[in-house]
Parts: sequence; C-alpha cells; structure tokens
Amino acid sequence: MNSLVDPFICDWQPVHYLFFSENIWGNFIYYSHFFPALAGLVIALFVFFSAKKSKPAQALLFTVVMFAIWSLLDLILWASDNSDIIVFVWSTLIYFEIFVYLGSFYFLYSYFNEKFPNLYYEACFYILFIPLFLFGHTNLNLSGFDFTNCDREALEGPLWQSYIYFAEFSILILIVVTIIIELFRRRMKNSEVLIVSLGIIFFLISFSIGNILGSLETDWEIGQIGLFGMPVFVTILAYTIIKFKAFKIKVLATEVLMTGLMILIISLFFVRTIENSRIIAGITLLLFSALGFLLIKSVRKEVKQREQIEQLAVGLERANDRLQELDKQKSEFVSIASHQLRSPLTAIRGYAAMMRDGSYGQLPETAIIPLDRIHDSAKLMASSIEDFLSVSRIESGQMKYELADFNLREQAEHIVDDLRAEALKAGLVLSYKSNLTSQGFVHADIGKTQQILHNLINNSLKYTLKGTVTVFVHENLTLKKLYVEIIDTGIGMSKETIDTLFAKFTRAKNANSVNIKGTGLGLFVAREMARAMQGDITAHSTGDGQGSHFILELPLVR
Amino acid sequence: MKINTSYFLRYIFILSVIFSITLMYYVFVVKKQYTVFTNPEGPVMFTDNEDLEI
Repeated sequence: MNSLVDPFICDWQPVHYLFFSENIWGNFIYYSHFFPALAGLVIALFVFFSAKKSKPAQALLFTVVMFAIWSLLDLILWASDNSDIIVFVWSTLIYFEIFVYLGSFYFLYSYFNEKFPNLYYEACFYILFIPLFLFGHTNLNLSGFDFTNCDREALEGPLWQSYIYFAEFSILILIVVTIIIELFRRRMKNSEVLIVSLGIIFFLISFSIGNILGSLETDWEIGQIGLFGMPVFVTILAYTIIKFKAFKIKVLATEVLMTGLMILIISLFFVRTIENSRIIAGITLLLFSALGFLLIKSVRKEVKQREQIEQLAVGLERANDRLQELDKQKSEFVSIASHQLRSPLTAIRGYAAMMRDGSYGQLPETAIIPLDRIHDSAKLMASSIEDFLSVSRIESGQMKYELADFNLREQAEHIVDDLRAEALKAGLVLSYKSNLTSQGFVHADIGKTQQILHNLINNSLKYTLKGTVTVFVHENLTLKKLYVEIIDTGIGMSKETIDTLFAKFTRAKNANSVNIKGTGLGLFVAREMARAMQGDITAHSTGDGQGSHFILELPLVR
Repeated sequence: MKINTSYFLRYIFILSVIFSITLMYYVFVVKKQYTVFTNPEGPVMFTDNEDLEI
C-alpha cells in the first residue's frame, strides 16, 4: 500500500513484520520496548492466574496489557516507513496512554478498597474520553505529518499537546487524593500504603518520562530508558498484591521477583555495548541466579512448614469441635438415662419403705434386713443419679439458680441437727459452732446451699471412723464473706489428693480403705454450684490420718 | 430483562473506542486525509525547518 509520503525520497528502509527495520538505529529501542512489555506481562499474568478474583491483580493485568500494546505501537512508529501507518498508530496511542493511567488508578483504588470504583467514577472517566471519540480522527488529534527533514514524525494537535496532559494530570490528582484518604483512614499500615503508592507513582513517571523528555529535548531516544523501570515497578506492585493480599503465594512472589530482575539483567547484555559492562552483567547474573535459587528454596521450605502447621491447627480445631460435640452428646445421654432411672427408683424406695413400715401387713423378721438393704441401696443409687444429673446440667449450662437472701447460720444449724442422729449411729460427735457478729444472711440459692452443706458434712461423716466433725460458721466483714468450715478428725488427705479432689470422678486415694461407695462427683458438683453463686469451696489437710478441713464461702449480705 | 447500568456503559464505552480507532484507520490509512508539512523544495535531511510551509 503506497503511503501519502514517498519513503524513497528520504531513503527510509522498508519494514518487516511491522516492527523490524533498519530505520531503528542500534538495538536499544527494541530492548526498551520488548523487554519491559514482556517482563511486565509475565509478572502480571503470574499474579493474575494466582489470584484471579483479586481486583488489584485484574487491574494490574489490564494496565500492563495496555502498556504492552502501547509499547508495540510505539515500536511500529520507530520502525515504519509508511506515513499513513505512522499517523494512524500515533493517533491511537492517545487512548492507550490514558488507559495506562486509568488502569493505575483502578489498581490503587481496588488495592485500598477491595472493589473497583463505582458507577459515578466510571461515568466521569467515560466523559474524559468524549473529546477523543469526537475528534480523534481529525486534525485536532494530529495536525499532520512532518516531512520537512525526513524525521518520520507526526505533528501533534491540541488533543496531544494539551488535552492528554489535562486527562493524565486529572487522573494523577485522583491517585494522590486516593493515597491521602487512605493514609488518613489508617486501615492499612502506613508502610504498605507508601510502598504501593510509590510503586504506582514511579510506574507512571517511568512510563511518561520518555514523552516528557522527548517533548522537551526533541530527542525521543533518551527518554526510552525510562521504560526499563516499568517491569521493576510492576514487580513491586505484584509483590505488594502477593505479600499483603494473598499470603499463600509467597513462593510465587519470590519467583516473580527473580524473573523480573533476571529479565532486566539479561537485557543489560544487549543494551551495554562496552565489553567490561557485559562481563560485570554476566557475573551479576551468575551471582543473582545462585542467590535467587537459594532464596526460592528457603522460601519454599518456610511456606511448606507453615502449611503443615496450618493443617495441624485445622486438624486440632476439628478434633476439638468433635470432642465438644461428643461431650455434649454424653451429657444429654446421661441426662436422659438418669431421668429414666430415677422414676423406677422412687417407686422401689417408696414401696420398700411402706413394706418395712407394715403397710402391707406384718412381715417376718428375716424380710426386714433385705428390705432395709433395698431401701439403702436405692437411696444411694438415687443420690448417684442426682449427681449425674447435676453434672449434666452444669456442663450443658442448664443448671438454674434462684438467688435470694437467706440465713445460712440457721440452715447450717438445721442440717447439723438433722445429721446428728446419723453421726451418733456411727459413733461420732457432730457439733456446731458459730462466732458470727452479723445476722449470717447470704445471697445464694437456698436449695443448692443445703445440698452443698449436706454433701460436705456427709462426706466428713463418711470419712471419719472415730472422733468429731465440727461445723463452724464465721464471717469476714471486710471481704463480706460468710464461711462454713467442716472440720473432721478423719482419714485426711495428701497434697496430691487435694489437687485433684474437685475433678470429676476423682476420689481420695485412701477412700477405699474406709469402704465408702461413691461416684466421685459430689465435690465437683458442690464446688461448681458454689462458684456459680459467687462463692467457693476449698479443701485442706495436713496429710493422711490428720483429718480434713473443708471451707464453703458465700457472699455475706448482712 | 433488567439491564446492569455499569456493564451497559462499559459495553458502550468499549464499542466507542473500537469505533473511534476504526474511524482513525479509515480516515488516515484508507482515505489518507492528513496534511503533509514540508519545505517548498521537498524535505531536507538533518536541517532546521526555517522555511516551513503550511
């Protein structure tokens, strides 16, 4: 196709495959256009395929693709001998320059906000392009082709001379405002905001430096060196996405960084023509390759270890959830089973008592003893079931407490009176003491408190073979606490036993020596209930055979 | 059918860019409608363009 300008007049060389021509002196222009575009694309594609849903990765890919198209079109300008093509390609470049700026803004915005700008922003950007749609094909874009001294250059019109700077400057202002807003919002670390912001600003400076210098110096070749900065800043941006947005691809980040830098070093081989520089570049490349290999290896190892730890943590969490679920199911099972057992036991106890009392006629003497045993065993079993039920309620958080003020001193005295006969039967002395100055009112659940006291005093009676059990009530007015101490002269406990005494299903090691039956739940239930009422139970003993000392404390009201 | 305004605008925008570039191709390459600036005697290699004729 013949162009409007005859290329033979100026001895312009023919072009092959759009890009290759002797019109380009030296290899510098090829490397300044091919390598940055290629390196940038490799990095952006790497990141994009690692995190396709990441908005910043999408924006980065768009920006780099626009930059790559721009580079190739610019290379056509350098190579072409056809004025028609030069004017056409030069006129289209205006779109891609603004796209690179716009893409950079989208990258930054989506990086900070995890989404793209809204419709209003987009509408403003579309308005920015209206003059290009309307006048892109007129002499307001390019006023013509400069054929005065064989330079193969288009003459730029107002769109190129003024409007593009206005558009790019507007976007740059928007970028700066976005950065400032983000710094004030303090959602991210300042260092992260600064890295990504400087990355994008240097990316744009690197991109535009050629045009600025070209316009000022009319030497378009010097400015092309800025394009080499592009993959470096693309690498920085890619790194920020990977480091701060997608932690799992740290290895990829290192590889991307290494690839970008390696492409840069290799490109030095072709740009530098001095032999010494090539040797230095060669040594640098060797060192860099070795260190890069080690770095990637160590990062890969670190990531693998972390992944293993994460997997273990997930496994543990699942096991923990499963255990909690099983524990809950166990509590439910115990609750249901205990309820089912309690009803027939009540009947057994009731009928045994009635038969014993002669409600069904006089029974022979030989039947009385077995009936007593039936009654006592059923009572023991009912007590055990009550403990199971209490544990089940405590663990499922369904234990209800009706808190009210009541006189604990009186309650303790009544319980001691109730149990005195049982103590006498066992040959023990059960006594009550008090040195209260207050009325002895506490704020607690009266039923639960009675249950606790019964449990503690009964325990002392069971584990004391001879001697006394003393219930001593006193208070601490400063701490506003009321204490009920149960002091016995029983079998006592070692320190190890005391440490585990309040755990579930735990009984004193020497409990079997006194032939006491029990589930090991009584003290656990008692302490849980005391703690739920803002109180506590503690156990003390100086050792085996030295007697025991239990203290129930509850909040004193008056 | 509900039209997503954002996608619709983006679609129109991309079409406009493609149309605009096609128009540039048509005007500059097919129709060759651009001005060539040169000296009265034709281009001079590596000289200042003092006698620029418009």
